[in-house]
Amino acid sequence: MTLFDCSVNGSGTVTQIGGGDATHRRLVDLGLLGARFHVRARNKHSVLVDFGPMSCVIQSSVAANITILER
Amino acid sequence: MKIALCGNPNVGKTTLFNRLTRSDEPVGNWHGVTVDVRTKRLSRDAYISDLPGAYSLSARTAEEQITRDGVLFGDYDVIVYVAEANNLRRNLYMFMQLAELNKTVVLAVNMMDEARGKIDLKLLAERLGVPVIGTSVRDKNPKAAILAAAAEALRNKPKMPDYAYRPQVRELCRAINAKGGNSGFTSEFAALKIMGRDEYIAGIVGYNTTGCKACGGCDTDLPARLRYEYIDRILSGAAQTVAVPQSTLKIDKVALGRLALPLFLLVMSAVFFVTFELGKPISDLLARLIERAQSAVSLVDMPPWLSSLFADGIVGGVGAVLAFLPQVLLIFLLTALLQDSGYMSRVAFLTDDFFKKFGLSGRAAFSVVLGLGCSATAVLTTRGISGEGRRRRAAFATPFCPCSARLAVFTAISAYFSLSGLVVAAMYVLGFAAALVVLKVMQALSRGESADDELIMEMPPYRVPSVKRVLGVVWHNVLSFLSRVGTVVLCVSVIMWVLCNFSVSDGFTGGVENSVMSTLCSVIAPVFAPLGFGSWRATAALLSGVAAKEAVVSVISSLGGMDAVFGTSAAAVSFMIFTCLYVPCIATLSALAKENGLKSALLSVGVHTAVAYACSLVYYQSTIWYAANKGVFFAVIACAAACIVAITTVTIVIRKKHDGKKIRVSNK
Repeated sequence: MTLFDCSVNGSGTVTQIGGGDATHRRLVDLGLLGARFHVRARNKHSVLVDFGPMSCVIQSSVAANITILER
Repeated sequence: MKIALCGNPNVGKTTLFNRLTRSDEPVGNWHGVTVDVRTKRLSRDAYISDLPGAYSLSARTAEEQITRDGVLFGDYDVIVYVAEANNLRRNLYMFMQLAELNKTVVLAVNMMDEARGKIDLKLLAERLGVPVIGTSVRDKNPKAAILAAAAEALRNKPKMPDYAYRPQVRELCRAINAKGGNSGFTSEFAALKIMGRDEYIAGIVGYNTTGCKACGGCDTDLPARLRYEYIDRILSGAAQTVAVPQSTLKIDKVALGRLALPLFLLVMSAVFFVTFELGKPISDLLARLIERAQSAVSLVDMPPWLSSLFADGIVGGVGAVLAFLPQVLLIFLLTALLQDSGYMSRVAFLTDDFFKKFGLSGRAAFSVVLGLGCSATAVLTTRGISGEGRRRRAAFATPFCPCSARLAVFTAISAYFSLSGLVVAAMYVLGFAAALVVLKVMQALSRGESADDELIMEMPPYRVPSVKRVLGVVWHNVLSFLSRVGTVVLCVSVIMWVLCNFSVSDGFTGGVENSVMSTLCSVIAPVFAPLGFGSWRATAALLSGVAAKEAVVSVISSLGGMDAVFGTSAAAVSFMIFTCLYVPCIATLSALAKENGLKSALLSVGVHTAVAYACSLVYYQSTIWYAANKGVFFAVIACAAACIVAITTVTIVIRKKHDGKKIRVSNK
């Protein structure tokens, strides 16, 4: 399951990050690998996710490359 | 001593910089506000530079490259790394890279007044091996603390993180050292970057990251994991883990829920209502005061030409622009409040779907909002948009959004002709619509680029706008507006006065007829006749607007006022449309040339003029038709509307058929 598939108010842990080199590196540099998350809102092209104190808007194409384990 | 301020975006670096140097560089509650390096004197022996925000030394955008290169190759003696108190874990990532580089660093934990958990700065300093200070906007000026910490840092370098001594890292360090050469980096930093497949650093070190044997196809995420594991050990017991504030979650349930769009439209309508309706009475009062000042100046005993220069050229010209300071100030204040509260980041999220249709992302909303104040600033902030094509398109289209200078022109004309505030609002709608059309055309012409720019945008929590911060932003913007009025508009007013009151043969004539300006502009004026303002006066006003849009108002005033320039209110509205869309001011063109190149700036001149001419022509000729024969007018409009509906329907049907075929093919 990917972050893109997760519904609003869904939560879990990020297990894998795919995508292009630059995006992958940026997400890993932000500490998202292995991080716990909570989906706060979403629209057609992006999703707002809380990773602890940090909240990020992630594009759907990027979220589709983030594999999660939903709680 | 040269000090650099660096850190993640939106941690308060520029706010700190402004406090330390008593400056008023622009700040905002979102990332991407600082797009260039600014350097100011900090003390007799020290200079401080404000670098754009970056999440790490792996740069994705142009502004991050500036920071990366500043850190790696700049000649800074000390780096003051600014971290946000509520996000230390993520903020310390780039700090670790500075430690790997063995840079002289001070850690400034900022926004301590907003910290939601306890932070033991002493313990952090012990574990990191660097001076650590806490800063916040409520504390006294931290200049002395920063200078003292910088002096201490010069005596002690940070501790090399323990993961740099892992066998894989040491092995690669030996390989790098064996290659020789002087990249300027520590081998530990280079090794970790190569393990992470950073081609930029690998290239500088002279290392090939593809299939390198030393790494043995290693895990490219390992350096990041090692850094975060180390950071977690550092922070354990030193900083409490915090979550997103409950107040933010509750507000976002409304602001980002089903009522998100109506709420956004309500907020923007309120901004425009307050700006135009509340600003008008104060503006009218100012205009009357300026008229009295003009009369008083003209009564002073001095030569006629000097009296005319002061009364008409300077007081009249500059005063005509200053009369609209209330509206300009209000729009600065309201947008600053929205920015500082954190709502503008929500606007970017809400408008993301919308901007996607035009090949951009919600990140462009920041530039649009800033463009309400100043187009030049808005163009510069497009630097934070990732994707070269998207960045260039955003920079090209942003000047179509009406700025505060154009607002002065709109309000002057609508006030004189008693036009509804809706007419001014319509100018904004027209400007945005023109920007969207241009974006759509540019998107269609650009090939092979996806609509997603892979935006990962941080969303700050809501906060109560700080009076100090908001007034600081407003003051900076108002000062910028006034300095333009005091310099460019003043110069243009004086030059226009000279050209309008002197003739080649007779010298000072005291009147505009037979003046140098009337002769010059009379040559160009017929071009604008189909638009309803084919007088040389209107042409002169438009030419002055290339220097600064505010000058249009002052030139109209010095050329005899609205009645002398426009015969009818329809001609005045046509002029407003043209002013809304035509050539951006010199400052914006310079910014565009800087971001996109000179060709793009020159193309912008052509496109803006063409679009402005077309829109004004359609409007003015429509009013003539309507006045001459309402039946024909409505028949033509109905035909045009029917054509648009037919084309749209056919396009939708074709697209649905095409999508249907795609689904059938993919299901096979």
